[in-house]
Amino acid sequence: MKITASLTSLFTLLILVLAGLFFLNLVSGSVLIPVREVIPVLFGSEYGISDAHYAIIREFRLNQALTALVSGAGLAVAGLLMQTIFRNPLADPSILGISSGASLGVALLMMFTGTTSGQFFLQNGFWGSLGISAAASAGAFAVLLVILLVSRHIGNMISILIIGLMISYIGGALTGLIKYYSQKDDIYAFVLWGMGSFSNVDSQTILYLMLIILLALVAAFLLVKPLNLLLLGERYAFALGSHVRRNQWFALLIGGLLTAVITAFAGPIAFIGLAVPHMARNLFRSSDHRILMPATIITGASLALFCNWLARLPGFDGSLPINAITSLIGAPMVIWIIVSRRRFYSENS
Amino acid sequence: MNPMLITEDLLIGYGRKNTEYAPLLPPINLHIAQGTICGLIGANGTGKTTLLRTIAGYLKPLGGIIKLGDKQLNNLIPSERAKNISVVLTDRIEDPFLKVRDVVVMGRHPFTGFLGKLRQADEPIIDESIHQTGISHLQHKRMAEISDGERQKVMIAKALAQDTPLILLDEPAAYLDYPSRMELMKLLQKLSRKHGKTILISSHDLEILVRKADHLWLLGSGRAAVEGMPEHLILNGSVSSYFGSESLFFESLTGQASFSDQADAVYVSADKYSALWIRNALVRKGFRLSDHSTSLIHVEYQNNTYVIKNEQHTVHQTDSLSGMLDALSGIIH
Repeated sequence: MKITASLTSLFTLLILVLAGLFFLNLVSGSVLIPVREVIPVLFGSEYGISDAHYAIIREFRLNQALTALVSGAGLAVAGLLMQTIFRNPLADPSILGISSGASLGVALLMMFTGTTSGQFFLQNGFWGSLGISAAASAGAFAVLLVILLVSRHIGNMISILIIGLMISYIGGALTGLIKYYSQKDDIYAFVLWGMGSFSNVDSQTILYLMLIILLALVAAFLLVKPLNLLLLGERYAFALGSHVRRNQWFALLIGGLLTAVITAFAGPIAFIGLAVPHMARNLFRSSDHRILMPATIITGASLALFCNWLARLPGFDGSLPINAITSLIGAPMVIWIIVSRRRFYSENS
Repeated sequence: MNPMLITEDLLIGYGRKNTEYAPLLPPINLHIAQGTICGLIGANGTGKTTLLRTIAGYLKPLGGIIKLGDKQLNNLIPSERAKNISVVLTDRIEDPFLKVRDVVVMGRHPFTGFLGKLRQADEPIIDESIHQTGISHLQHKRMAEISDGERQKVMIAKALAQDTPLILLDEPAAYLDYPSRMELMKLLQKLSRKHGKTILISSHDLEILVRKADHLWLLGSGRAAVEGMPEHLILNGSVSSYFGSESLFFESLTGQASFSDQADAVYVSADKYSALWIRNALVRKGFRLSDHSTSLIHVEYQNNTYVIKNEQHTVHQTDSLSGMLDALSGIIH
């Protein structure tokens, strides 16, 4: 990899876009807050700014923007890891059944604490959202643990992929059963959770979330060389001295951890993990993970912020479900990438 | 020459923990001399791929040892093994953005640090590997854009960049047409002769290996593996007994020899069938052939004995093909 001028300018451009989208998220919403007020608030100054604006930014928009930023980055990197270790362009963070585990956790919580038992959990404020996060984490980490244990004994990535898919189906079926026996209000609350949201994280929690995701991203960076070798296939990677099984296991661990943590706090966010690695590859026309890793982080964060901004555009009643937006943006993007890549091949063959 | 690769009572097969091991073949005792090309042949299902994968380290031996020089391969950690053995496989590279040069660069990764950053000394090695394999004009193309023959050369360039004494090739001719196969073998011959690489090729393409390999390992299911110079194995009947389909390609070999009038040209006197193979061996070893019995140097083959005559005088007599070739090079060079 040579650091060329075009590489530098592309990264600079992406970072500017990211910064722009971040500010857009702070400025825009049901109330428009001008940038000249936003910047001082970010630095903690209250001078000349109304209490309401200060509170909106500090208590809501900043947390939400930061959650979107780190979730987008984390899911995108998780997707990149999955696509490389499974050598499958359709792999994404949900492929191991982790999101389905999280859903099952939330569904169980809903059944045991919902209206049937007289406690409508979503109306329980702080404890309610903490409960949901805890239930989602429990489900997600239980599945991750199973996958990691299984993969220590079964080295074959295709088998792990299939096991992950089957766990997804089992989780989905159990969730369906629970829903079948649940009350209408609980199901509505569950569907809302399933739509995903970046607004459930408070100022305290966001710090922990950022720290965990940052650590996982650093760990992912340490895998760039084995990931690059895997582009040649497992056997070539092995012959070039890579501990293929061990590195795949670490990639599963990091990708799974990112997915579990993010799903616990933001719900199952679709398509970012699938679409962003493809966007980054096409943008940089490269498969080199030393480029892709930072590129997916910035692009993933940008896409999540963009979707979050769209979802909260004034005119919509409240905010739209984030999952719908990411899918509506992500799916056409993947189609466009595949179609344009096909054209590229036919021109050259 | 020194043996580079040696197997001692090697048992190969797919074993699982707690089950009875069933080796595919009797204990394998084979070797390859340093700087030569060895062909690994046998009909389908005789364990060619299993043996190659065991040597490459993908499979653990069920017993016995494999030695590379004075190192025992079974004990090497992955990073050390990658500095001693490189492989060229039939595996396709599917990545749409990977370029030819990127793949060759990967060959240096056993020597690079944690993030795979190349050192200054790596660049000339990469350039040289690209040059040697004749793919300079392709280096900025994507892997998806080049032909199968070119792709095979790229993987050989990667193996060269890895700079290992031993190169293993698994069915390298699988997707190639005849001219590309010959070109590939010429390239490998250059690498073994000029650069001293020891090369093991598994293939069921008997014809090309008989022409171009210095040494053959012959596998037959359930039988002890045998080895030797290709012509030797043909003349003593091993090839027909292990392979069973030799007649298919004998025709195509007749008439390939070109004759010379030089003073050092060798005249072969033997029955038509044996003469064919003796000539094949002579050509590969770089001798010139004569079609005149007036030539000064004669090689006569009768009753499994080779007699070298210089101006009608017997100067050497042996029952080994390689012994005859060694003596002949002493006389001529």
